[in-house]
Amino acid sequence: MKIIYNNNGTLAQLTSAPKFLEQLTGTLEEKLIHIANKDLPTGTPYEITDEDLSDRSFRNAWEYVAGADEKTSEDLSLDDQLKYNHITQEEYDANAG
Amino acid sequence: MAIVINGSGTVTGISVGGLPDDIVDSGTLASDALDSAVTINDSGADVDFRVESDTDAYALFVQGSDGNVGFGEDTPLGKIHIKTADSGTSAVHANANELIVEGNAHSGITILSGSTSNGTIAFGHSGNNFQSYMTFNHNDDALIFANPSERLRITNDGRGLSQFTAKAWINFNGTGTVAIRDSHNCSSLTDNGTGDYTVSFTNSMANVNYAVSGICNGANYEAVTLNGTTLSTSSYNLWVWSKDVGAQDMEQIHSLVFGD
Repeated sequence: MKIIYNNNGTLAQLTSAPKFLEQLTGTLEEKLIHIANKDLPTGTPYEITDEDLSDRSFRNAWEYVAGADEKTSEDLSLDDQLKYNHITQEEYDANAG
Repeated sequence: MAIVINGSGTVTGISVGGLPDDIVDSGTLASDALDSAVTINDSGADVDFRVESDTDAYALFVQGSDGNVGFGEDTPLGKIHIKTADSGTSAVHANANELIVEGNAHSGITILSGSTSNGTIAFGHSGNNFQSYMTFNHNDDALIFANPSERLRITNDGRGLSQFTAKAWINFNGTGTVAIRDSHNCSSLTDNGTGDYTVSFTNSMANVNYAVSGICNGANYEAVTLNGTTLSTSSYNLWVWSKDVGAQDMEQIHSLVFGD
């Protein structure tokens, strides 16, 4: 399963690292949503797909087309932002209060 | 055997010197009489002292010839020698013979601390009694090495935080179905197009002044380069470039990162 989204007019496909996936809990889709929230800019439309994308012919011409299951990346929780070193402890403390 | 009990008071129930083998195996030292210092072998004679348990004839042993103390050991090889079983070692290095822990299988020392405190082994000298140390921080389950500033922290998720350990690395196949073979501190790999990839860190870098190195297979002057000039604390871009073809997917692409 991959996450696909539009990156400046070209389809980008995000592959999760197996070791990171192992650290997460929940269903595979829940894990991928977490990764999308973590690694995509907030507000990025994306889809989770198991489509075979192994034929890379004309790779740079691939385009992302929104489907019925499109999602949008969201902000991580403050705890996760701190955990992933996206914010400092001081920023966490300032926002948690 | 000389036994000297200093201070006033009484010793009841024991007989010293009268037994044929000089062994005291029963009796009670009256507790209200032993509130002063007690000295065994006050004359400093070269005689041994030992205490037996039900299974260990040398549960506590003081070697008269050198003052070395053994616990479960009748020939202590250093100042304190704690032994559960014989390892077959007959001597220890003179530079490390203050404390010896010996067994014939796995052996170890346990430091027990408060659940949010540190357990520490410290190194010092006459000018600094805390020059260097290894400590385990139970608050965040981190193992820390310092001399005296912190140099290496091993986090509870397996990362090594230092100037000399890789902050992240990745080995992936950029052909066909793009796949990560193995990685460290990488949460994902994004295929942006032919030969164009973004590596995202699990734990972000502290700043963008980190160093990236990369290599790929191929025999046509292929190179792994940074796509663009800026690095992000949360990710970086790799571009696999071939002299004749331009951007190219490669089967073996490896990259590693050092920095804060």
